[in-house]
Amino acid sequence: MPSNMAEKILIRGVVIAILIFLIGPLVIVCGLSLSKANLIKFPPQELSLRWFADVWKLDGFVAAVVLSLKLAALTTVGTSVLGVMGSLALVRYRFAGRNILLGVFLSPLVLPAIVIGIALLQYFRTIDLLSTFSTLLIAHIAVTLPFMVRTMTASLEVMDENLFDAAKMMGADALQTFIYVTMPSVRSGFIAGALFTFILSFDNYTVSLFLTDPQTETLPIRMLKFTQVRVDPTVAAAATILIGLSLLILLLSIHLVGLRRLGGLSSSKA
Amino acid sequence: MATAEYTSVPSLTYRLYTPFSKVLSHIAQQKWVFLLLLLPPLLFLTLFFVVPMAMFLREGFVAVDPHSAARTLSFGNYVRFLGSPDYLKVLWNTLRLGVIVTFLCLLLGYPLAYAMARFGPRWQRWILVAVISPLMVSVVIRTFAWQVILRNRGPLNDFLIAIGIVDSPVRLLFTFTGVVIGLVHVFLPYMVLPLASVIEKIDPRLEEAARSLGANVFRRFFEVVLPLSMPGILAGSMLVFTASVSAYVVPELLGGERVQVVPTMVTQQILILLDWQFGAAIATILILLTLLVLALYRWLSRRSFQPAK
Repeated sequence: MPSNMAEKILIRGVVIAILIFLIGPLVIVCGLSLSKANLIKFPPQELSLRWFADVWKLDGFVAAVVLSLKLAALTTVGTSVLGVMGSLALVRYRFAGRNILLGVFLSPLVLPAIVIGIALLQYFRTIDLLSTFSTLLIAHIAVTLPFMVRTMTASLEVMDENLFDAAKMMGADALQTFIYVTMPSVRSGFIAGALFTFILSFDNYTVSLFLTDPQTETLPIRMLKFTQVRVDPTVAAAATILIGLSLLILLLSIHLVGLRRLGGLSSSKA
Repeated sequence: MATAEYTSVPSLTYRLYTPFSKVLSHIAQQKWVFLLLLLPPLLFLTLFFVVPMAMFLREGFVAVDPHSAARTLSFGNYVRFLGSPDYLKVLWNTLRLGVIVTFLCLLLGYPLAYAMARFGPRWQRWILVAVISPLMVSVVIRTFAWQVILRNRGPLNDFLIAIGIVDSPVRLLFTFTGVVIGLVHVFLPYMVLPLASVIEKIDPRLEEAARSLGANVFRRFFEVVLPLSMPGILAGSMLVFTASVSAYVVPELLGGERVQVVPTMVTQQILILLDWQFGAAIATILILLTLLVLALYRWLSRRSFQPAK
């Protein structure tokens, strides 16, 4: 079947071209950071790692990395606690208005992020009680909560109800049931939700934009300023480090929750 | 009690834990126990999401008198927006951007999703990795990459000149086309993932049957696979469209001042012109637009995909 063969080669070629479109830009950034010359040119003529040594001299880069890591870690803790509580209440108990509440929990997903950012800016200016870091933390928890609730409710819904009856018969109380029965059953959903929360917070730009001040700048905000001021290989080197970090997190996620589950999770809006 | 029978001397932790466990069990039997779990997250969201949103969007219905600073209820902000050809043009541009990006994502996403569902586990794994890994990288960095690529002396123009499509560099950065390219790259995964999960569920024997009945590749695609994958197309399109019309970073960085869209206009009104009322009105219009698309999606998917059994 020669026509069948040609078909196959054609469609595989198209698929590979689209994959290059997806991955290409990231590869180009990494390539730029390896250029020995002082100007941004792809492909680089001579290779060198010297720009990586300069990354730490970028104004405020290290402070921004530390701030963003701290923020993402605390956001993950806060979102996990609130998300698990909310999901348990919504899935395990039947009460009036349950669907409406689920809608409320998921609504930050539907609304444009810049509108949420601006609304929080106005709100925190009005009450004016909290530090910049606290407002960032609150905002990040609010926008990541729906992801946690979505994965946790999905995992809890497919749990075997009989497990709870079994736990009860064995004399387990509510806390023991939660620790020894519920959490192990939804483990991968929980880890997926927590990892995603971390990444979303670490990468968030649109909401942070309205809440940072010059003393408290998250990494995406700082990075954007670098790219606006000058396009030089040092900025590309910083970007390369962050791409490497993302790939590390990706590998960790694949290891912990599996590629397929990660795909299902990513298809919900970011 | 049941546990105690196995150890002759109950451990200290056990003895300390028992009264606590009894209290817990007592609470767990109460009807209101779900409130204990529900209230903290609900309170958080109400305080830091629902109330701020309501307060901000309310501003859109307020007119502030420039002399006395008196606030009155008014629809003036909406009248101003809908009455001005300039603002309407930005809205039209945003919608056009959303439609074009959605269409291109569908065009590029379909082959990927199909390959993921049908080409076997190796292709599936590598395509998934390629689709997810850009998602893990901050949109700021992805946009930076496009800023470099789309420059007049950037790799894309070098390539276009080298293969002889154009003679001199084409302007791509700070154009509508540049924004489209950036958005397609950022939102393509949202199209591929839902689409692949739907195509995966289509029975491959249907395609085999069509083939053995003599249908060529086009008829197999347009008359078998495409109609059956409609739920995935709708879900992916809804995600990409709503994300595109509310995107801020990509239009701001790749479009600059030449390409205005609704989200950049909202930000400009608030951060530069400090017109919170007008900004809130435009934001409300953007939200209504998103909700409208969502409602349309719900209606379409309910209408067309009622199981025929």
